[in-house]
Amino acid sequence: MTRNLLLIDDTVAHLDELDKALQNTLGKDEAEIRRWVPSKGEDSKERFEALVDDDTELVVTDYDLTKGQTGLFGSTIVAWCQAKAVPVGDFSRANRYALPKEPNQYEIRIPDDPQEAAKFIAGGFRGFTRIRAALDSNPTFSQKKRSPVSVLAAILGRPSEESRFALYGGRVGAANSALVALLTEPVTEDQKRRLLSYVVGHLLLNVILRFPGPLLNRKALGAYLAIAEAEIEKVEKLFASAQYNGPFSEIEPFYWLSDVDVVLEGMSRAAPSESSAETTGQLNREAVEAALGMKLARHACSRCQGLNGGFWCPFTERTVCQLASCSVGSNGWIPPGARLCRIEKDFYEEWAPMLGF
Amino acid sequence: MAAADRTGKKIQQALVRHWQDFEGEVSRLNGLASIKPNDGYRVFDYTDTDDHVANFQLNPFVVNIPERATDVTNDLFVVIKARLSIDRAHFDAEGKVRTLNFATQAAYFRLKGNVLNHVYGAHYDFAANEVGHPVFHGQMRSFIEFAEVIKGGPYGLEGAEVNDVVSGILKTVRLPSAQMDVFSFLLQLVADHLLSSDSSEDDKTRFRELLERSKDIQGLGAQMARLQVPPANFCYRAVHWYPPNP
Repeated sequence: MTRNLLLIDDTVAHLDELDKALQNTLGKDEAEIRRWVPSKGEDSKERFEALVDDDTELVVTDYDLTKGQTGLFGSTIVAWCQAKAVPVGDFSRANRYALPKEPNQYEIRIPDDPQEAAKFIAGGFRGFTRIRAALDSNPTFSQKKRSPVSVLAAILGRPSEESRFALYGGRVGAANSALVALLTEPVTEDQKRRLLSYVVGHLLLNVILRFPGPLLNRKALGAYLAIAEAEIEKVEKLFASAQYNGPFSEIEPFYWLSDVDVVLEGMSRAAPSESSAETTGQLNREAVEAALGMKLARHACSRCQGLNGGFWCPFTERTVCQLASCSVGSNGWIPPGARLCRIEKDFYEEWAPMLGF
Repeated sequence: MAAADRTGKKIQQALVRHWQDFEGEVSRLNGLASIKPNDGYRVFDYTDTDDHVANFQLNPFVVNIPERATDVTNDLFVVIKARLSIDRAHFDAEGKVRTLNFATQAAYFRLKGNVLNHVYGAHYDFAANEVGHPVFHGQMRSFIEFAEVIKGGPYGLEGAEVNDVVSGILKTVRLPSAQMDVFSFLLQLVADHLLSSDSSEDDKTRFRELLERSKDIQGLGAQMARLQVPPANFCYRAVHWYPPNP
């Protein structure tokens, strides 16, 4: 059965543009793309129920749908999807700041540029499909594993990372209260696997991949190596053996931290044993520079002129280091498992009362 | 900060990661439990080094836990201050953290009302070849001054009164013990206060995993010839802990 995804927008031209971009990315046999332009006079809930079924892998909605129907917002669609445990993503072209910067765990934030959005949606669709397929072909995962993180570690073929994933926590009820209601109803094995795919998929996409720890994206790799973003391209090949190939890897390149460390360990043998480095980032950059036989441009921190580094601030999206003058450790907004994330000091000092330390 | 060097900084990174993993596991085992500060780089200071040893000072940190695994309140505060010395050559050759020396100070406080009662205190030590000293031992004593660490922490206890129950205890008792470096001590805290016979299978599994992970930190028993002979390995009586010819 071909899985489907539903696109919702109240502007036909926008929907056409995204639909076309997606068709160029996803094969016809791979996904059935359903469309919905909400219009005045129709029963929105009835229409939603007709379009979303057990084979819907992803729903993507514009945040503001009021052009088609007064009072219908993307947040309504998000709530309906969450109640059915169907992955949902939203975007806003007209007023991107209307959307909260931080989506909740069961709401996927889609880029507003159509080409970027198509790549992201295709990667998200395929990621959820892969997870569901892995669960369907390994029934024991949903029967014998003790938690979503153990299921995830098994799907990724990395049982040794389970305890690191577990530090990302995530209370199901707190993140999506509708899920608790679903869990209390009797479910078939197939429905159970669907629910598990939903939970595991969001844990991976919206938590683990967003907050660098066992897995890091390109920017976090650059931060770990304390180099300028423009230099990442030069070093990527060196870390090819560390590249992550699991679900959602098509959205952007990710790397296993443990494998990156193995590569760095090999490189550091060529680096001078004496070093003035005070931070992880500088040590790592020195190792890569020794391997490349050339100096790399540093990142743009005004405190150290890019000398240090090694960590990533997910709020300011800048490279930071472990020195107290630069950043503070994890807080309530960063999962404990995100060991490469630290909060930039200036941001922390401004927002600490609200960040829940 | 010690004279900077690649190996020393990598050892510090390995220690911080182990500590952070431990901190995360403690929170998983019991939602009431916490370790503050939770930033390992604020705890592990790399102080000095020579060709063989990298020395680390651990700034005081607080473990806030229930007294018993089944309790629903976290009224026990344990302040820990420690130092660790790590074998540099072994780390370079094997990539493993092996301790060469350690000292651990621990002070337990039970909060009752607005009073922090200092209910247990001990320091754990290592003496390779000192007269009358077991190789690994603990000595009870008051660490009442550690109450200030709790009062200065994020617990709202700045104005708490302090009562010393340990004061006056005999300090000269050297109790032979295991190697109670800071990571061994944290393991003991978990075992004493976050586990019970009623713990779920998941919690017991997590503890087993914690034990396995803790084996990444190696002890210094291998340096002690008198602990390497069969009678010591099989017997474990305190007689093997004392140096015969100091």
